[in-house]
Amino acid sequence: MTVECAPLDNVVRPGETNGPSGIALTDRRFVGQVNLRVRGSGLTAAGHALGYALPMAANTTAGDATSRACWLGPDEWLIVCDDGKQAELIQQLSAALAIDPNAVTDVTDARAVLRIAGACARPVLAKGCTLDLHPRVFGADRVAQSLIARAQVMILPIEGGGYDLFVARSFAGYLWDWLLDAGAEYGIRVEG
Amino acid sequence: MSQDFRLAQGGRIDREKPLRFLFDGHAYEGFAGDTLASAMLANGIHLVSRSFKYHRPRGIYGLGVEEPNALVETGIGAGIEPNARATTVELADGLIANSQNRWPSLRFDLGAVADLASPLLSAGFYYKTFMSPAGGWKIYEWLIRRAAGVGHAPELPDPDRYEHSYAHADVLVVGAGPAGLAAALAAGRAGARVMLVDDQVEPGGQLLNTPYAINGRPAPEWVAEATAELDRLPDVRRLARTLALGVYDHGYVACVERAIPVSQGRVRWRERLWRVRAKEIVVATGAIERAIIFDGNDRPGTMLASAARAYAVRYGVAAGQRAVVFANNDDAYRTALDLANAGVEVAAVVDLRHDLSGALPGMARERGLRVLAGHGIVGGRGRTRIKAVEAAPVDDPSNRQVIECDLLAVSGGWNPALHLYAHAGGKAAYDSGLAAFVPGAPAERMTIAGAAAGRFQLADCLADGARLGAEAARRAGFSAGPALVLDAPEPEPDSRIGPVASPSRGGKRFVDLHNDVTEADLRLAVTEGYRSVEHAKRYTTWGMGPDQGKTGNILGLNVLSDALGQPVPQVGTTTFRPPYHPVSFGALAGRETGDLVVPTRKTPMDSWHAEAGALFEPVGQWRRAKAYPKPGESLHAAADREVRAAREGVGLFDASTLGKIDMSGPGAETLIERVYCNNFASLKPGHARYGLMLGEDGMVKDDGVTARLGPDHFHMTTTTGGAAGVYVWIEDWLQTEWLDLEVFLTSVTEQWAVATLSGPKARQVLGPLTDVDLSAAAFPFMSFREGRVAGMPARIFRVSFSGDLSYEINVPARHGLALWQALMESGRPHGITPYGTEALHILRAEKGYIVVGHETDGTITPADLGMEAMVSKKKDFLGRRSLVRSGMSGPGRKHLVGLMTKDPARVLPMGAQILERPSEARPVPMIGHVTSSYHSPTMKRGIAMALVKNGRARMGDTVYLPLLDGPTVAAEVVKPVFYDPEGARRDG
Repeated sequence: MTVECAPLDNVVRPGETNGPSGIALTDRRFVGQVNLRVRGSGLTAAGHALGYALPMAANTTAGDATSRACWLGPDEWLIVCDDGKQAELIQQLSAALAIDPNAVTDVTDARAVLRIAGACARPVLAKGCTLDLHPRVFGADRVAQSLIARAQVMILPIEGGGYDLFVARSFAGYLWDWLLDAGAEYGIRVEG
Repeated sequence: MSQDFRLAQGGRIDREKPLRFLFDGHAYEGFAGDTLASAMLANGIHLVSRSFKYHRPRGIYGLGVEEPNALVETGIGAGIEPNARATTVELADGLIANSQNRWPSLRFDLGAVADLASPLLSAGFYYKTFMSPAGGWKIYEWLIRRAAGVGHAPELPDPDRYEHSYAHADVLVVGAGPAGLAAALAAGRAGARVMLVDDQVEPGGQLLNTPYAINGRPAPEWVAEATAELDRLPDVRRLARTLALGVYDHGYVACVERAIPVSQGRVRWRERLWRVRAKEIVVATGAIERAIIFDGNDRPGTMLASAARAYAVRYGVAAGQRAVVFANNDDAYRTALDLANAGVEVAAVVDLRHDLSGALPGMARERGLRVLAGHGIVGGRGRTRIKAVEAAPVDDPSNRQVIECDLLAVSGGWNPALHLYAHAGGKAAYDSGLAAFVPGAPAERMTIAGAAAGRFQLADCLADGARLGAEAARRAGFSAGPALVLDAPEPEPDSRIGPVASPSRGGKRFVDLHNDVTEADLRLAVTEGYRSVEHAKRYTTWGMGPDQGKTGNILGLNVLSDALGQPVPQVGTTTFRPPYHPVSFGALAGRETGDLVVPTRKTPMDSWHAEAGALFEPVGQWRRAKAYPKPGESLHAAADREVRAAREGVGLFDASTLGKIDMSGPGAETLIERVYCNNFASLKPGHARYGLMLGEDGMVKDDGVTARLGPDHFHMTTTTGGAAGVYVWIEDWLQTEWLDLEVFLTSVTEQWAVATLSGPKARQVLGPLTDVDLSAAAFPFMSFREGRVAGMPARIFRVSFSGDLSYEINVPARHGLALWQALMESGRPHGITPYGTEALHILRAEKGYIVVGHETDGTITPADLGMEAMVSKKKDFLGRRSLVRSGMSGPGRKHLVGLMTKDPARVLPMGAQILERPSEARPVPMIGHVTSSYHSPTMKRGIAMALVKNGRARMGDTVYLPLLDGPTVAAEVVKPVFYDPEGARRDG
């Protein structure tokens, strides 16, 4: 049994706080992520394998209790699931897409996922992200790819308010530091 | 010290909360709600600065951002802020302010000799005087910069935080006066997301001064009510202390918010730059009063009438005890009446107009005020404070009468604040009735309400705001909410405006107080041929200072109009550009300081390197271990040790930063064939090959090893620096040109951690950890295997960048650290040594392997590198056509060669230029340069790679390298492979 090391394992100190907390910040350590590239007849086959139709509108998501497909491009999705479930998902998708050109790639380890929640989560992101995340514009079925400060992120709204920020593993430490700094004026609490 | 000029009652200051402050070292007291300017005036301080050029004494002149004189330095030490307008500095307990541009003191300033010499200091003085000697300007500039100008920049790092925020609004309303409040309410009631920004501490604008009522109640009560309603609306954001600085394309508006000052310690943040994207912008920025040109119009105690009125009504401060109001319009009488009602004695109203039949002059006369119709001010008395004015009939300027006073309130009419409209591309139109510019054709996403549109009556401001706010919300997609009913009766003023200049008796007549530009300067500019308004502006510096013509613009245009004999609209106007008001560097920088300036990308093994005491170097945004020096060991010694280990024993290198692209689909092979210049079709699954990538221009662009994982599945590696660019480039070809190819790319750079085990003992270290057969026969050079390493799923590539036996082990990133630790543990008996990028470079240079960016610079072809044999003659690929261009081959091209210094101990500097002969006549013909150079511990000598003209024809020749501040070094041209040219070591 080897030791798994999440991108922020040497950075996150649960319980750390820098003020009366308006924000809770969590390192989700590992989130199952499968990059799916497919088009044409493969779209329906992929939908059957997933149990729901792939979202075709730009910057939207679809999903069920097991996984959530996030639109990344006209023929590209990131399927998000619990860590450990990605192998099964890849197997199902690969089997369903046997005759359709596709790329089903495990990218679980390529990104860290930071969860930011609390009343001030949106104002904190607004300090480094040009997108409008107002719920009227960025509802529960939306996803966005943009920059937060100088890190590329995929932003996924979560139930009950807040966001999951998917960031390339090597940038995770930078984004973490940036969020702690940006959140300082509202008070940020690091959760384990 | 007592506040002698504080009125007994009135004002919106909190008399229960006294605040102490220092100005030029003297202690004073003001009240909460004061600005520094109002508190200074309450203490009778008028002299606050020395002017820019002539060092003339100057006093507080305005009320807000339009202030041209009262620039002070606030704070001490690192917290110093130069050039703060006293009129915009919110008073806080313990505030420290100092005057600027004076020596030794404000009252006795030696620089004031400039004023005595002023006949010599006309417009264009510098251009005319400092022409010679050539080169003298450096000295002149130093002297001029000491004598002229404004405050000093702090010399210590700014200790304060500055924040940035983006915001989005359906309707952005700029200005919270009557028009802005009505607009925000109308848009907010419609349900729109509204942002209301205002630079003042309190909302209300002119409503805080006005004696008139709204819906039958005092205006401030309506302001409080409107504000409370706005604050209840969930999608309305109201920002006080926030100034809109600039409008850019597509409704993008930059604003700066100032923090609420604190008396002790530091504010959480000092300023916040808001970058707002608005669907609609309602500009309700009001108007700025203008002055009148007259002799000696800069004496301290002279100020804009609107400022004198606001100091009395809003701050409860008498700017003087005996005032003269100088007017060319009816609004000035409101000032006269308000001053009189507040308890300031009004000695006279001097009006340039003859016919004063309007209601307001009538009210003034009824109030018993002395009104001098058809009179102008032609002079005054007092140096550091006005003591009296001289008034005379405009038709008979020599018939003077002296009126004693200590305050001169000047009202030359109002200029709509059209700066934001101009930023948005609006072209203002001249309204001769108002003697002012008003909005012309509409600007993008922008409407203009109230006084900013030249509509000065309160009822018009409120009606404009309500209408334009509702319309803006409708355009943003919201239907109107409950209507706003606002009734605000006030006396109708006579709209006729008099001239903006008083008759002259030869005194100094300032047009631009900030830059010390006089009427005579502008006339001289015209005489000397600067007839265009933009030329006259730059020649005289009129309107070019930090105040950007806020008070002097129209005055100067009138002077030019007269001098040129053209009406004002024909003279034109100068262009307002952002920012509306000076902005601090801190606000622009925000938190992009220190470690947050650039992200530092870290590999999965980074923490191990840090703990091992690695010396890091930045490679793009990555930080990579350059070497692992032991205590007391130099970089050079550490790299030598690491190279020897990787040659003689075994070394371990973190190669995680390599770019990795997964390519999958039936078109994958064709794609690879097109992007590499060498053959890949013959590559069998399970094998890997070095690929050379050219740009469309035929020049080497990137390189790396690509493995065939399956018939339609490849794993491409790129250089660390080229990873993102190569991925985007190939994706671009696929999406725009090669739509026929069924192939998908996925970036997996970050998915895989890579540890490279290198050296003759590599097999012994890896063997015990893996189920893969590592024998040279079962796992040959340039192939790959999947298996397990220390229990982890792994892809192992048998490639080598050192020439020795080498395994590149890829595991999912979460296992990277564990893999590294397992390899170190397994290698311990074999003396395994981690090595960094410095050793990597030495190892590859010993073998003559190129690094894209060292041996190539975008102008180097495969043939230049001696790699022409790789280039396929059978297939088409990117860059192929360019390779047959003339000049891409043949004599005269630079070739990659090796250099061996005659003195083995000598290590050439990279970039050193190469000559054919030890000394050459100038211009020195340079035949090439050193691209890589190291001390080779293996060869025990300096080795270098170089690009040299016709280099392959020079084998065995001696070339010469003149070193900067050193000797000229002789070196022999050799083949660029120094070690193991037959490749005997790669199997271990």
